[in-house]
Amino acid sequence: MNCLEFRRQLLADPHRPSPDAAGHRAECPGCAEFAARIAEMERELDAAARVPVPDGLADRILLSHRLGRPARRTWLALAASLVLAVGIAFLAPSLVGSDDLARAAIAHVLDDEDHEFATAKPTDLALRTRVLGRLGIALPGSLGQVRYEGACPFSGGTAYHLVVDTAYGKATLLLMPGNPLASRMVTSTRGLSAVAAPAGQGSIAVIASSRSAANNIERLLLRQAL
Amino acid sequence: MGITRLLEGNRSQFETMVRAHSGDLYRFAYWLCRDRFVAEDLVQETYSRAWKSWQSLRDEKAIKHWLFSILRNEHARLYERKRVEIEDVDLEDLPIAVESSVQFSLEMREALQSLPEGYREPLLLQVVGGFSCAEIGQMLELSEQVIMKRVSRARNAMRKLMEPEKRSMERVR
Repeated sequence: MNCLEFRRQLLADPHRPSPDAAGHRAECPGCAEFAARIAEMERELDAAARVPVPDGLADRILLSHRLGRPARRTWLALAASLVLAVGIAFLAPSLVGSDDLARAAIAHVLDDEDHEFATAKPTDLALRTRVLGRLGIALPGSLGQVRYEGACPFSGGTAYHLVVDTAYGKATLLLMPGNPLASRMVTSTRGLSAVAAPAGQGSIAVIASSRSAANNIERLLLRQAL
Repeated sequence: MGITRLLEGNRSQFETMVRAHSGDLYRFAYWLCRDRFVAEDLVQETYSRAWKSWQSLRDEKAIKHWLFSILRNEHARLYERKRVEIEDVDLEDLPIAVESSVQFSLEMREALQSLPEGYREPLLLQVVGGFSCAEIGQMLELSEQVIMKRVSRARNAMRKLMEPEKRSMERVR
């Protein structure tokens, strides 16, 4: 196998190298370096392609199947609400845990925020503008002073993370342009409260010291919806 | 085996199948239609159709291939498919290493979204679905060689699309 054929095979399917390709890689430093570069690009590509899956998707599919109804999201949303409202928990037991994103947001603040501060990079205002644009919101002047901002890995995707001194105390905002959410959720745990809500093509989460603070900040943000 | 036990067994298998593959199916559907609500509908409809034909499924190993094919057909029913022109690129152009960062992931996603469907679909079947070029060829009714060319070109196109972003990020550092 020559170098061109090796690279041709690798570009066509980096995950299934042939025995000949493995042998060539062991003998050719240039192609070994090329393969390492391809592997790195593949990891980035894989991360980009794996868009977040909506919470409760499998449960909604199974609920639809059990009820024997046509599978349409809008109908299912109504059905799921009704099921929860009347407390027929046995039909969809795991839907009760649908505040996962809000809980994850609180865990992110408590467990990861310090690390983000320590590894902060220069603010990328162009990135912030793009993220806000996708969510269809703007940061109102009345929100308060931004103390930190930067992109971070969160919930299997990427979030734009802001820490703001608001009139309701310190709050964290997670802006998730690639993480769509079917419905709003609120939770309190570990001494913090969080609201997660759909916004534009993605979702936002507000984490604050109390539910009322989180709700008020969420309202400030969504009131600015473009 | 009584009909009730048979049905329960089928439902258990079906649930396993839903939990195992709905995430990857959703991701593939999202990239096909680029609308999260339509994507979820497509996955729902895929499983609805899969259940109707469940009894005829003989090869359990082929389930994932079968589900992705159903989803493609459902998507095709929703949207009129357009033929895309595939641009030749030089295979000897070597992809350049990229630096991992969350900002870069956002840009990578935009680049992936901008790929023509003829590039993007086989690439996603490989990246998200984990299928080989031969399996993708069966799904798309194209030869393995054609699929190999398309995914190679898709990767090269991604590299070309990402180069300005990478340079920009290097300047920031």
